[in-house]
Amino acid sequence: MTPELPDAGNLLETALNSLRTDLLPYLPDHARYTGLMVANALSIALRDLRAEPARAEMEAAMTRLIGRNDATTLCRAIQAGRFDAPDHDSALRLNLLLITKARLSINNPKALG
Amino acid sequence: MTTPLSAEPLTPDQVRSLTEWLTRQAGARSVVVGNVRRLSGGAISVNLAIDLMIEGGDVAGPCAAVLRSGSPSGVSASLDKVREAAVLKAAFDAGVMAPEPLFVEATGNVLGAPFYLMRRATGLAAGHRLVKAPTVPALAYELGRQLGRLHAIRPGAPGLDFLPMPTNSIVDECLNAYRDWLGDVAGKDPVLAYALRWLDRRRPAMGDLVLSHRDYRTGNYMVDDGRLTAIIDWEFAGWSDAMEDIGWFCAACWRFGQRAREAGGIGNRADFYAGYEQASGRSIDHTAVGWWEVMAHLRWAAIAVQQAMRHVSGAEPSLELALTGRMVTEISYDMLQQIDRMEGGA
Repeated sequence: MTPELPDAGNLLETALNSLRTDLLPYLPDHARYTGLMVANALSIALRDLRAEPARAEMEAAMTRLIGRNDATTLCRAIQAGRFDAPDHDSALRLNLLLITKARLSINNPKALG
Repeated sequence: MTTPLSAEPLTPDQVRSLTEWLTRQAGARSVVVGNVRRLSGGAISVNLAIDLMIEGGDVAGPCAAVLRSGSPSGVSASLDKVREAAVLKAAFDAGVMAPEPLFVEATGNVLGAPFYLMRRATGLAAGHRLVKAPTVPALAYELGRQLGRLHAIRPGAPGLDFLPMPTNSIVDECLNAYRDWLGDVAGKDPVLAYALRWLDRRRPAMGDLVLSHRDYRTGNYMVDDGRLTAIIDWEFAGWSDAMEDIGWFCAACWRFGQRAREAGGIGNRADFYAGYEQASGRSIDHTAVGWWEVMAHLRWAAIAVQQAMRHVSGAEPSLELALTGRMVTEISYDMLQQIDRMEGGA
């Protein structure tokens, strides 16, 4: 396949910069909230495109817990009580926190503090 | 929010029939309905500000009112407007700073849907703006006191027979409802599956069953010049454990970024608790409140998932609903940290 230039990430980033620099400051008040939401949606999509390291962290945490990267299987194990014992419970919580932090690096990095 | 400002919220025919109906209800010689405008916060309800001038009858004089009616996409968990008005009246009569309900139209014949009118409070409700003001200890105390007064209303109170009594334990009702709201996602998102399991395993002793607001949080009360003027948005009210409202109010997800202000982003927990204990004569169960804070995050996550599904399914394409779906991660993060605190930061 012929590589496209620019790639999707570059296009999104460029569109986001134009939105922030050339549009947002000039939007009337009633459209400003929508403008900010559009910028937020584009930012999330851009981080999602470039989230290989975050996905690798999620995969590693999931694999530590159940030996493979499969959220549905992990959910079933939790529901069946396989992590109820105190030491399993804290290991589960620790890894779920790592997974959630990795997802936050895509969805809302500011919330990571 | 997207309605153009020029759009009239009521047609001339609706204004005429509202005026006639109000004149009869108020036992007035005449009523003038003026300055009708849409208020924000209409995800579930339609709220219109209306200035009334009433000549004669029991409520003669100028009256700043809000007309509240159901929206077409009503949420199943919410009360209809006639019942909501009855809850409002019970709260108002118990001395809670709820807006006084004035007139209730139950048939739908006047405006096409049932509605009620209540007195309009002054001030601001927007959470993200309220949390930017300096903390006023008296405000957190007063919010606790108001909740304490509300929680003095117990099952069997007159006028509230329509509110369903929990058939199971209140914990089972909550867990079943939120599992249901989550649908497939409960089996695909390990954090939500974990929260459901943890809440079930760690259930605290339940306390008194009381009339609960069930959306008592910053954003659902009005403040004017640092002073509380009204508790609003009563559509989720019902019988519940007294600690549920307290956990919902204090949950990290309802602090609008002011994480250190543990009482709704506006004040200290100690002030809020003190007001509650003074007015209710009931002690705060700290373990139960912490547990209800986890439940609060699960509930908000389940609502956010539902909102995202309304967009993703194509039923109601909306950028705002789409972005709410991605908020589930942040809610999950706060929830896990709260469980961690409850487990001693293991």
